[in-house]
Amino acid sequence: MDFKQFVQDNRLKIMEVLDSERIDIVNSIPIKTLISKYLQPFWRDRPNKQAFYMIKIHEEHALKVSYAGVEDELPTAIKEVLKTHNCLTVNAEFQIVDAESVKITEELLINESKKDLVVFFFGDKGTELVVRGKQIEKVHTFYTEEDKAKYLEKYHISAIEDCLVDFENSYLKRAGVNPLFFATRATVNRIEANCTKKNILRNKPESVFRDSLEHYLNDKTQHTFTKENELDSQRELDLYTEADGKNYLIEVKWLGQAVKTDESEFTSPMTGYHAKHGVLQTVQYVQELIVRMNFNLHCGFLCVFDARENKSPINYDNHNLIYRDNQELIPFFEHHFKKLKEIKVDNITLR
Amino acid sequence: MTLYREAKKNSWASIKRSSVFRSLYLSSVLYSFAFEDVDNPFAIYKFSIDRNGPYEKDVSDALEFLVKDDYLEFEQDGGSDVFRLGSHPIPEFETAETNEYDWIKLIVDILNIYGEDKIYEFIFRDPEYRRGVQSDTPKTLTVNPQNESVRFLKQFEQAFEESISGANYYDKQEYLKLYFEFLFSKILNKEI
Repeated sequence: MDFKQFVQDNRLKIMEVLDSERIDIVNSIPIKTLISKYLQPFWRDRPNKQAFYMIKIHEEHALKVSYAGVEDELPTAIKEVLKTHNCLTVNAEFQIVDAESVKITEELLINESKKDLVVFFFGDKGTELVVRGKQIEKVHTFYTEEDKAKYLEKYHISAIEDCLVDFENSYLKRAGVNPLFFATRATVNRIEANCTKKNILRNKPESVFRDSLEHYLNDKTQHTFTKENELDSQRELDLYTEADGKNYLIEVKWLGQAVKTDESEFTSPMTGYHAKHGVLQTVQYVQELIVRMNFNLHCGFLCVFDARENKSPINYDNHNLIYRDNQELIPFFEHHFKKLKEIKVDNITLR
Repeated sequence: MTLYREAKKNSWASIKRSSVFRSLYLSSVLYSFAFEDVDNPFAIYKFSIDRNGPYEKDVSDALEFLVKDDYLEFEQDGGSDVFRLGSHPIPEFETAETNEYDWIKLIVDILNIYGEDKIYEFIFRDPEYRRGVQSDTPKTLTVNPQNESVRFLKQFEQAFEESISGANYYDKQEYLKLYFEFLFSKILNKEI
């Protein structure tokens, strides 16, 4: 977002939020905290969005509201009383001092707000604020509650496997994306005349796979993924993120054949053997991060891109590389590692 | 200690070790925007970058000291190091009303709008942190008045003053709140 352009394009809406008569209320930290952290999630959790209600609080009380009080009262007394009433007045501790059943109209909201009351109205679209005789439809300057709702609809790390199903089935097959992974037919034929293999990958496919995965996850999940190599040049294939205060790592591996750097020949085929060893390498890195680097890693994922011509099932040999040959890794394998389902990649555009 | 006290007022029962570094980094790197002609008292911190974001060894040592003398309590929560206020009373110098105190309070209050778990996302989009991550080694962060975050905030302020009548009457706090809101919009829209 170009904020200079944004400010120019949204002058009127911004001025509404920053209106000098109301800025001390509308843009105050307690009001923003109340809405963002408590009232909007409370509204979101109530199933019937047609059951409109309002909560009034004196301006002075709103500016010194007790968050502990809000946390106590919202899920208990307020939730309960809203079953039978739709207009509550609360104090600075967010305790109900009055409860009524009224016909909520725009006029009522505005009139109430003229009595030094901050009025929160909960309609079908979310929480609205009415302050000093004015309905503030846009409480936030740079985003809307719809932006927030859309964000929450994005995948959480706990659903990363579902996210990767979409990645495999739609994103990787897009006409503008799929060719990025594969060498051109001209290159392939130059190396091997009349080559019948269709899935020859470009040089250094690991970077292309990693970057496409990073791009997709950053777009479709709630989290920010970054390349590990920004922090450690030795681990250039990994992605890293933090979600809900917990750290996650994704190690990327690929199977199949690629063009070598000088484009003189193909690489040796990367087979199921490499996927099996990918498990070992990832778990070893998980151990290193947790034990040696004292890094609070919640889970290390292994993500294998399978671009083999023949995608026969990969034999992980019951993970004997861990259970038989590296038993010291068993706790890390069982508690902090997850092998994601292999992502099948095929060249859909023979050029 | 101020950080913990203000966090407690905001109903945070405890703060993760990584959040301490991150909150103090934000306090340090943004200070010179609000107090242009004052030496930055947070300039004593020399932040580097590790996997968790900003790291400062003296702050790490201070946490250990505060635990040893019961100013803070330490526990492991879900694998994270977390600290909460301990049994030792908060020392008097920590309750003095100073710029530093007010500043940390403001930063904590703003972060509380979005929640502790979002601090990482704010750090990730902080202009000075972006510069530090993308620079060649050594990956260090600067909190001097010319740092990237302060430069960005000044441009931000200028954009408002040029486009919105009356904007030159807003104080630095308003711009700071708007700045965090701007970064939050980037978080929601998955922009860096």
